[in-house]
Amino acid sequence: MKIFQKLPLLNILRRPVRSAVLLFMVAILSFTVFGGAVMVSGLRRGMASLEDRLGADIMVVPEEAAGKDGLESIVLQGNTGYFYMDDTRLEEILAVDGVSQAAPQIFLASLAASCCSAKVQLMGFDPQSDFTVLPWIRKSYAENLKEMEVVVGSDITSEEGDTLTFYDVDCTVAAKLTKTGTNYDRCVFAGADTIRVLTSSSIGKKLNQFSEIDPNHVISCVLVNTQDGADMDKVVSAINETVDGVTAVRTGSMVSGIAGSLNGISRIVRVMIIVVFVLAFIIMMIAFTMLINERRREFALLRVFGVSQGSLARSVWSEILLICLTGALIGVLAALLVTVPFSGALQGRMDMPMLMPGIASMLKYLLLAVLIAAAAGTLSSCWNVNRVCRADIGLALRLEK
Amino acid sequence: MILTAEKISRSFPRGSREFYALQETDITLAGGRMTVLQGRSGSGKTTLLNILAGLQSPSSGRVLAQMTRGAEDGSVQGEMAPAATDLYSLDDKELSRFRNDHYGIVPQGQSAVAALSVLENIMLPGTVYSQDVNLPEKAQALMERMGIADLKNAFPKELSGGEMRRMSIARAMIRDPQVLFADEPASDLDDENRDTVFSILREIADEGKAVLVVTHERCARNYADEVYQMDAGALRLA
Ligand SMILES: Nc1ncnc2c1ncn2[C@@H]1O[C@H](COP(=O)(O)OP(=O)(O)OP(=O)(O)O)[C@@H](O)[C@H]1O
Ligand SMILES: [Mg+2]
Repeated sequence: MKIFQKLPLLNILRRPVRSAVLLFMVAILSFTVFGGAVMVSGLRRGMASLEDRLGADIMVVPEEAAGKDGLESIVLQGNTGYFYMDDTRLEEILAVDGVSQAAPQIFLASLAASCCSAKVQLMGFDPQSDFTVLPWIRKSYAENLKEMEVVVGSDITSEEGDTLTFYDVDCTVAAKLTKTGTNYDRCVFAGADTIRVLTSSSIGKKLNQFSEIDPNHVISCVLVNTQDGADMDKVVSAINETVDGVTAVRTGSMVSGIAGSLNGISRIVRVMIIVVFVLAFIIMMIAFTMLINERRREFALLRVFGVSQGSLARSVWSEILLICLTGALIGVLAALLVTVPFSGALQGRMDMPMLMPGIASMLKYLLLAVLIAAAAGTLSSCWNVNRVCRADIGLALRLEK
Repeated sequence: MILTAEKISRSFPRGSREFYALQETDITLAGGRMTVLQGRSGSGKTTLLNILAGLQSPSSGRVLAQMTRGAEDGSVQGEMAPAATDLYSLDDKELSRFRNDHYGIVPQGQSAVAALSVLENIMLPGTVYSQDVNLPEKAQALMERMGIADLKNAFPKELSGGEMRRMSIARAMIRDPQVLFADEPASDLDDENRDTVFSILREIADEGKAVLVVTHERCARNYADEVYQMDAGALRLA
């Protein structure tokens, strides 16, 4: 390449300290934009996927399991636990006006002890009536689950064909589920019959908190869909009034807490992006003004050698844009390195479901981050570039002879 | 090329009055001749040189460049080409191109592009428009002529004042210009270096270029065809 065309690149490469400082500032800007966008989008997707997993209108649990310590602690905080009610409740719930579908689930938690492979949350579903877990399992496993077969969430380390032992009963891993970004990724699923076998064994070994129950006639919760047009709040009250010892809640109210904090986080991230943009803009304006002023005489020299105002402007712009684009890519890369490996940790820390956006969205955010960095670079220096390119050559040559 | 300035002047506002850095002046530079311009600091020498070199527009008057045929082979009495170019009637693009094509300029003071090596600095004007053929060979020959061939990969901050000057002259010559302008090319050089610079400029004039040298040095007269004296913006033959 010709030297004059290479000048922007050489200016960057041969002033490494100055370039590093500028690149660092641009990188911080794009790191924030990209990282923030990916994080918010990950949380939104995580929440959508949680809604899918809770894909029912109403959830009915034993009275003592309602609220923070019961179901929500398992689903939202990722704790393990279990609670029971009599399976006759299912019939009573189905009889309530406005209920169209009701699917029971039965929970069990394994122990971090020699009887079990690991401490995990076990969830049993009824293949006949289930409408939330099965559609998800179908994505990874087309066949029906046989007795003593389990499917595992994506965060469980076992693979298809492995054996998992719970309360000294061996189960075979039939499939691994797709990632949801929720605590369901750390659960093990099985048909209700399999879970009942495991529950019996846990009672037999005196390892179950509920020694009195009959494992074949208990359920832990019932997921309910209402008939089209039915008033969900009325159905909830009807269940609470007519069925003894249970609490019905709308799943929406479980999710709405998350939605609230999600909106809060989005707002914080948005404010953060604006603050960083303004700060980066000011710092870049100062830095690029210094970069340009310090070289006013050099620009005048280029004009002396026959460089026109237009090609001088192009040369200066190339240098600025080269810095902005490279800095932006560094920032995006750094953001990827931080968000992707630590998304799991982030999820655990915030008690929020998190599902990384796909490649297409990632590319979109990458483009956004690069564009914003380039915009900050050009906007913060356009006035200065214009000024020096049109400057009187004779006057500029008088500077610092 | 014959360069003619007709009634050029340049004024700047100073306080409430106009200050004339250059009073109405006529001057002609011709190929093969070395013109020396002397005068006190602040007398307007650089202002005149800048106007002739197409770097600063005059407040009045015009600068005409008359191409001569046969200038390439060094003959001074080339036939006149039909039309002269009025420098300050050109737009920025055309004037920039004109400077690059026909002028070699050694500005007053430090004039290196910091990020470029000596060799790259010298080749730079040859790469602004389409790249000259044999550019590296030409640059090599010029560096040898100026005695700076060993420094081709050095960067400007490593050079002494005299080496920097010689680099500037080599760079001004890289496009094989018809007019060479040198503003204080020998300031703060020792006697030996100063003599080297002036004899190189003389050689360049002898090759058929028009050479204008602004300098304080008295000894420059020994090399010149014409010597002008500048006094508070007024030009006279010395
Ligand atoms: N752009 C400008 N604005 C105001 N005054 C100027 C400008 N350029 C030059 N002058 C003034 O014009 C006068 C002539 O300046 P010039 O640079 O031509 O002098 P010079 O003879 O080259 O001096 P030196 O030997 O110190 O280089 C000076 O008084 C200077 O202050
Ligand atoms: Mg001067």
